[in-house]
Amino acid sequence: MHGYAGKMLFVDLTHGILTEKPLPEKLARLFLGGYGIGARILYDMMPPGADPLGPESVLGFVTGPCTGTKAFFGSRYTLVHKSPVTGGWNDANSGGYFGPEIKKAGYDAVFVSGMAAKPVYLLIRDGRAEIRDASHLWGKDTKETWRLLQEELKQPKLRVVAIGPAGEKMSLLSCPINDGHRAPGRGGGGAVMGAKMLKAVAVYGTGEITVADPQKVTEINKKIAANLKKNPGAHAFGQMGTGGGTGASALSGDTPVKNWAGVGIRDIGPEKAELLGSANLDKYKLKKYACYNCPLGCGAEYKVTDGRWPLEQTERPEYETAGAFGALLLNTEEDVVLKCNDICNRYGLDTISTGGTIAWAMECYENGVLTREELDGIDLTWGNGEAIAALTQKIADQEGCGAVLAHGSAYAAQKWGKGSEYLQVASGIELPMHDPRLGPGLARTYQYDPTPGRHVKGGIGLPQVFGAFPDKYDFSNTGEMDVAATAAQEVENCAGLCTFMIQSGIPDAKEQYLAAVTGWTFTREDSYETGLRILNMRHAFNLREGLKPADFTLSPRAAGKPPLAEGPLAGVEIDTEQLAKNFFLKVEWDLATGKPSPESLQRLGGLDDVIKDLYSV
Amino acid sequence: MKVTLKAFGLASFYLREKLESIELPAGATIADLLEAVTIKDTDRDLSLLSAAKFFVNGKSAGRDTVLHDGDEIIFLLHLAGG
Repeated sequence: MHGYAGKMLFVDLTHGILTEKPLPEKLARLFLGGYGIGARILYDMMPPGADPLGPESVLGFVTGPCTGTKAFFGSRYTLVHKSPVTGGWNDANSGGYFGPEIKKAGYDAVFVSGMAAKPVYLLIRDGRAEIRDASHLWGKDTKETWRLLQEELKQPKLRVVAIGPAGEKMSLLSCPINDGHRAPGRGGGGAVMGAKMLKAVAVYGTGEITVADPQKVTEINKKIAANLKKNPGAHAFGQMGTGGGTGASALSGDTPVKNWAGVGIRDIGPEKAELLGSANLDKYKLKKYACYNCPLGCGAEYKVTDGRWPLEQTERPEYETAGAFGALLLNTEEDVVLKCNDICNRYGLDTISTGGTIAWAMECYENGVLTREELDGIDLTWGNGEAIAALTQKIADQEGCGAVLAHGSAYAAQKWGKGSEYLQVASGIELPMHDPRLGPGLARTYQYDPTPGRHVKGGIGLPQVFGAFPDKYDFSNTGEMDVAATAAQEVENCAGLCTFMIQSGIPDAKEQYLAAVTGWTFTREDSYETGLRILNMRHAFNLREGLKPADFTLSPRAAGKPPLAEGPLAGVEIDTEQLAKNFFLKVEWDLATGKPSPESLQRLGGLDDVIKDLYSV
Repeated sequence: MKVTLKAFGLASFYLREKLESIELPAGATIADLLEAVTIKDTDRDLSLLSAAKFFVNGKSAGRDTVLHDGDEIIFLLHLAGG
């Protein structure tokens, strides 16, 4: 089977049993890879109602058919599990080199169940896997863990995904980090690993993934390379990374400001907005960083030699990070963003949710809901850089108020019994840094995607942010476009391709790659069906957990309720009900129960057990 | 008349040269300003320019906004953030 390693690894940590199974071609054809295969497997392996932090919880690291091949942008793997934050389905993907290494080591996916009695790590070397003691690594940060494992195993090319102290202590903001700074960041995956006492997965492989039509892959690559050369946007992206747009986004309304209540042009202003953009931050740049086989290379390594927080080796913050520790907190001090980014990467924390949690605490503090005493003496005023860095460290260490805030804003509001009116969340997870008031479709995506609160999930919202759909505030008739865009994103993500391939200049690049890599026919119609099947599989996982549409919530501020009075988004109020209705109708999900029509599931195929689970009395 | 232009991040990659002060005829609009300062290379993909956003003296503006002497224009383009 071209494009796949052809095997999956199942690890039972409770009993120390490792089992290898072939990857069935039917499973690959129907669910492709990533969270498609992930959702299908977890639906089979996990009982409904399983505790995400308990022994029945299953965690998967799943690649796609393009991962690790010569196809550009094929660097991604997806972490899949039930979220301890939202209580529903969770997937988060990451680039770097870890995903490709899993395939080179002989596996398309690794699924981990059970719980170890003491800290362990999973070592995979060219098709040989073993569970090893990680007692000596427990307490180490993610970069140190990677380095120690490389030294210990005498393998400088070893790739590692590891949790830091935040995941070990099961912070709900925690995530694993691969390659020292790339993260499947969202939804509490670090806590799931921590609960299993799985410190890391270390992988080394020398295998090669065959593709059906290598010449065609090369042709597509050449075409993309030529297109990128002609595109000033791609040039800017390669030079400045995702953080190149930070200043513009803070002013345009794309980045939420002051816990979603502010206006960038008024509260930050053009002079300060650009301070957190790459144009300013890149004075710390040591060298460029690109994920596996990426023609753009949006990353960079930094070094900060002086100031409040010298950092010997750190990374350029992503846009989401600069937004979450910047405009969202009214902070324009660059060293604060660099320091907080560094803490999060080392301790293994999701930068979006950590920044979002601090924004919530700031607004609570401003309104007297949280006192300085409750915040351990920190004067958490808007834009106070010292305070932001201090609180981030407390969250990382789970020290004082950080022990509560380490589990996110929704948890803290519930634990302390106050401040829920200032939460900016979707189903309990902090919102990412693209504002639905600028791209209204994001409101539907954030609220009703089976993985809520994500900017990398499909829909019409991001295209609206970036200029498509001039009538974006007309909320009628969005269903067809919304579902088509969602299905397309499902396929891109599950193929193992990076979403920034949007810069490729070839609208059906993913279908072309998938056909060339697998040898299967992969028309846009095939793509649409596959995407819908994967979407329904994730959705089915949530339905089996008892979640209904009414359980999927979005804090009203992000939808313009009430509307902003000033700035470029003044007066915008999104008809979230209409957007949801349009989407549900087109995708054939019942608005009240969430159940997909049996006919639609039958048509898509591969979901017979879901039909039975949903419709058998 | 003379106006000042600040191009943020990605937008600066679409300028023919780094200009801060631009001379324009009276009655010129933002569309005229863009015509005067952005790259014209027909071999290049300039589609993203259609998503540009503008502020004039701190207020949101559109392509048909008429400019005046001394105006400060902010020219923004988004990068997909991750």
